[in-house]
Amino acid sequence: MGKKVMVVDGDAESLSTVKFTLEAAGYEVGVCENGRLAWDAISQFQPDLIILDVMLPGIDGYSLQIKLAQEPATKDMPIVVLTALEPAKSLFQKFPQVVAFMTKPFQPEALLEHVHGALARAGG
Amino acid sequence: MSESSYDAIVVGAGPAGISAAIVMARAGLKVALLERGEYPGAKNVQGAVLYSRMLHEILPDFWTMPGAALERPVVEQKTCVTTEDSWITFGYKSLKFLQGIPNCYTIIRVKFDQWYAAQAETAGAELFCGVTVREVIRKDGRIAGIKTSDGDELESSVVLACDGANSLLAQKAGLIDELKPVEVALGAKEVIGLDPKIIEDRFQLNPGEGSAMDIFGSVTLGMLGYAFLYTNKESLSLGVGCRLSDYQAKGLRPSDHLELVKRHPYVAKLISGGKTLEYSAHLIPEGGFKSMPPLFSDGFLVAGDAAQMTNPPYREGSNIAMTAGRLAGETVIEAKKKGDFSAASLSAYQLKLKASYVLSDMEDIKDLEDAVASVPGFLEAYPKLACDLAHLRFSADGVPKRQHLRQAFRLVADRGLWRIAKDLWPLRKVAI
Repeated sequence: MGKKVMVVDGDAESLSTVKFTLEAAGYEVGVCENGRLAWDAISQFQPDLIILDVMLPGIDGYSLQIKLAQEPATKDMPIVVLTALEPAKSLFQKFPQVVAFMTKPFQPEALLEHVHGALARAGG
Repeated sequence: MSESSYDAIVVGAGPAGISAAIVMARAGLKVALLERGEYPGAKNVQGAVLYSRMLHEILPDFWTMPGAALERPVVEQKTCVTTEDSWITFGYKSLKFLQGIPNCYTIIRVKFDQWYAAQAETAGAELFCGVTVREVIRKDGRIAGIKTSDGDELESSVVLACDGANSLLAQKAGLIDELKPVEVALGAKEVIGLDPKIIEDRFQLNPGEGSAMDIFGSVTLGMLGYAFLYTNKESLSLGVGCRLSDYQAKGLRPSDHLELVKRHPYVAKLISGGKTLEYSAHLIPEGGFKSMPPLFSDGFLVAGDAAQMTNPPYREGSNIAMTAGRLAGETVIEAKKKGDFSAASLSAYQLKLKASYVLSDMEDIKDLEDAVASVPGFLEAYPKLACDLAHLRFSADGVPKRQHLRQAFRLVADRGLWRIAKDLWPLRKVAI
């Protein structure tokens, strides 16, 4: 069974591209489009890694990140931030669990490289 | 989506974008209004109070329009200053707020934006939802359209960036730098369902009337920011927002902060028995006047939150966005008549903003936050001093009043009269 990756992205187009990219690489993928539903979706899916957008409806990615960084169940879970909001990069640098900050549009190979690398470092 | 080119592409169906679209479409321009969310308002988190006059200038007597998505006309505006166990409230209630052009309404943005966008469609603008703009198209050095995330290209004589705080378009046009924790607020809000009758009893309102309250002091735990409580038809909007750098220093989550606000005895009583219907939390760039990007370039205009056009101490934002959107629209209409969409032609937009209240108001408050932040403990010390003085004034404790007066002088002297005057002097800008 492949590792589990949760994709939280408010942009349906981007969400389906990321899902397709990860599934093609053998990952089991969970998705969520709405920040308000993301925490429950993550708790239920129990991913090995999260791909997180910033500009989400309801609760944005930064607010989610604060929660993810504080909750014992998720504080060590690697996170790849994938957003169109490049100016937010500096805000995410203070979270050790954020292993990469990528901007949209993204290169699928670069995303996979970050995901493979982070999961390998997290214990293969 | 239509492949034909437009006179104007407006990115973002919020107060600024819809206002611009209405004005331009009415003048016969071919306008595309693009919205990233599934529908207008889907991505919004505003409070919200909307001042009426600026919308009235676009949609005269909008409050009489059938289906106008308004909650309650606000008859009372209050400020509450708290310590942990005490609070002073002062406010102003006037029936004049309901006469002529009602002063302001509470609104729920997800409803309001859909209604307002429909008015743009009625005026002739084409609304497209679920469209994320990825890039601006440049031709001969000027912006000449946009490219969407699914690869569609749309051409236009001018692009209006009205895509709100965290504007992707202003970013793509190279107008926005990195977000800094001292220039960004983190806001959390709950919509709390409550029976209309209970709302009216608790807030002493006649049926259908509303109130709006800002809360300062202990509720922000010394951080720079404030809480608010607005009455909607069948719910309350309770929110709190503080500087991100303060949240970082305190290690506090906005959701936990909002819970603390809800537990303050004054707030707790007002929201008692209510049911949380919705929770929101967002980063809100609040750089204001000092962080405004250039407002125009060749074939490009920026309006509303995308240009940091907010006035938090006066709770103004959506009304400013409407004025800016209208003025941007009027500028484009004039540019179309001249057949000139160059930066020189579009610079008329900045002159119009200068002639209006928008830029002067923003300039006046540009140093206020820094002034308050530069006095350690400002938002704790002064609410406490005010409550301590009020406690003396309203207590009959068997002590002669002349001793109360001496005690009051001592409280003021402890802080230092000169220091108090110096600390409070910057607040003159928001006194009237």
